Amino acid sequence: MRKLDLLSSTILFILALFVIIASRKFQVWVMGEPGEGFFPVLLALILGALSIISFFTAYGSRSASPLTEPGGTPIMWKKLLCYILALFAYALLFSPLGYIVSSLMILVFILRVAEGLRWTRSLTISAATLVISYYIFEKMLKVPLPRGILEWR
Amino acid sequence: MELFQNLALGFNLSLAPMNVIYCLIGVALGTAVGVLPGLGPTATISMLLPITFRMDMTSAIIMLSGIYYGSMYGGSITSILVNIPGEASCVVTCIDGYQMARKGRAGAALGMSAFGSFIGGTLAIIGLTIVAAPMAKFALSFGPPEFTSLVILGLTLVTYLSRKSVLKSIMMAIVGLLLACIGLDPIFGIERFTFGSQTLSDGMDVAIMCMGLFGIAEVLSMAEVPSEQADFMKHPTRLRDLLPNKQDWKDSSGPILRGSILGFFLGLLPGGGGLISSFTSYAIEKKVSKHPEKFGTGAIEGVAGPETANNAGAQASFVPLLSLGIPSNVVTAVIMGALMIQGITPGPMMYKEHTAMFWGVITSMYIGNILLILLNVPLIAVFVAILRVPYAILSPLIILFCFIGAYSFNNNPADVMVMSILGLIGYLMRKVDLDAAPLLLAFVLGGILERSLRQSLLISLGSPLIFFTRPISAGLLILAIILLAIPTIRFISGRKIGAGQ
Repeated sequence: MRKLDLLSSTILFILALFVIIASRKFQVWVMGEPGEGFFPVLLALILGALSIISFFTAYGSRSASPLTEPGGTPIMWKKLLCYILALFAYALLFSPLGYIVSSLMILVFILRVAEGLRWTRSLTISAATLVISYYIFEKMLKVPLPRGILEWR
Repeated sequence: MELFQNLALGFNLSLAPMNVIYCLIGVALGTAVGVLPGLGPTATISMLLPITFRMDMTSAIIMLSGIYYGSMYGGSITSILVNIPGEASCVVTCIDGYQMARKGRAGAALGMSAFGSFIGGTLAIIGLTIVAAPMAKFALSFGPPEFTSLVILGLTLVTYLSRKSVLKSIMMAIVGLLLACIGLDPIFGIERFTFGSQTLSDGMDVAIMCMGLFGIAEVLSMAEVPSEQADFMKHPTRLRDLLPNKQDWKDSSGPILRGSILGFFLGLLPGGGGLISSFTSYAIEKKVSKHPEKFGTGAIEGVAGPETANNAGAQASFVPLLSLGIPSNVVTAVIMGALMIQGITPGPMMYKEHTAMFWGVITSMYIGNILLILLNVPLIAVFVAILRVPYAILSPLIILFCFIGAYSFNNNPADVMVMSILGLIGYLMRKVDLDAAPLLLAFVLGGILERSLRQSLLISLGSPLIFFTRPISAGLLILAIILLAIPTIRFISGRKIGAGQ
């Protein structure tokens, strides 16, 4: 029994169900031509059917799921969670705090906390990255980046 | 022979110093644009349109087309180095190219990508000069049913990409198609699956999906393991050692040849260009290979073939534009706009009235291919040097890079959140053994598929038979059905054997 495939099949089935429910107000067929609901509902039905097939295939399968970590090294949960936290914090703070401030904070956080580099190294790398990236993207390429709290410029 | 006269005419124009410079600017800019996520050739060409009003038209087209095929190469650089496809047609390059980089062979991948693109582009141009007219006429017979069948065929090929089960690839492709439904319905304009969000009502964006599902997901996957394990394997330092070796060339010669021919013919078809060519080539190379299990672990054939095909396809897609006035993809459509603003209508008349420009553009592509090689091969050592950076430092930089890319797209802060969510989803997908490549490719094709499908049904007044009564469409669909049937039959008979019958 391939456990991972059971999981993925179930998730995809739920997704298919979700699409059909979300499409309930759409018209599938309107005056002799397909409506806006035609394509999504058709796709969702196919997906639902395939996920059921996939589920039962996984159920009856003799082989086990492939290992998700090559070599079987244990997952470094702390580092992973730091990254995920940093990612979403960055996404939330990017605009309000602006590019420079948010990037500095997140870079230092990742380098110091997630990767375990020394404070001095973390700060220097972050500062250098910011200076260079700011110069390249904002000055040379004229890519507008959020100012955030450094609004005076 | 008339052909030689035309070529002479063309080279006379394209070898003029100013035009060579414009070509260089075009391919250099294109490469840079391909590397940067969020900015694509379409956006760049659109932004440069006003500048072209004052330029000589031939020079303008030379530059703009240089941007297009230059970006095909640039996109493959990030695909190989950091698993982020710079363009949708470079998604396939990620699969084996990135694995090669992990194994210390990024130079060979980058080199083969450059050389393959060069050869593919050159052969495409030769093909272009010979068969432009008759192929273009064939392209005229493509209507919505043919488009639909072509895309369906394309989708069946997409499912061959994955090392995992075909069933899962199909399901991922369907998810990709569903994601393409987010936003406004293409025919009625009704909002679908937007849940009141302004960001979503514009639809999902392919660049953001690429960065999230590939780039961020990769960073998160690497966060699971100690950073030393995540570091790229050491690369040789001399340029000579970095470039592909004899064995690489031997392995790649078949894929390059097949990729060129494939890319050329697929690029000629409307809706063609680099995208469909790239994954069709991958599927074919996997099928004809004596060691299909190597694909996905760093097989150079998986880079050589698709890269050649996508460049050949990109250049071939200019044929329908220049000879028939039919733009086969968004980029050529924008270039067509540039021409029309200047009062030149691409098409059969253009060939008669602006013969010099027509051949000038075609010959400039040859020059552009040479310039791309001269520009990029020496830079391989520079690109590979990036991989020396410890992954502990590289991974937050990748996140930064993606955030800049995502934000720069629309200056919409919600986009970076969407990308982050997609990154998490991409990571979780990997954990449950689902592949993102079919999803992304299906997403890109989704818009065309729905539009063509509904238009076809409109023409046929609701009857699905139209796909089978028209010969080209029927042919394509039958091919698709056969391609889907093979693994299905194998699957069913495999189950029977397994059940001990």
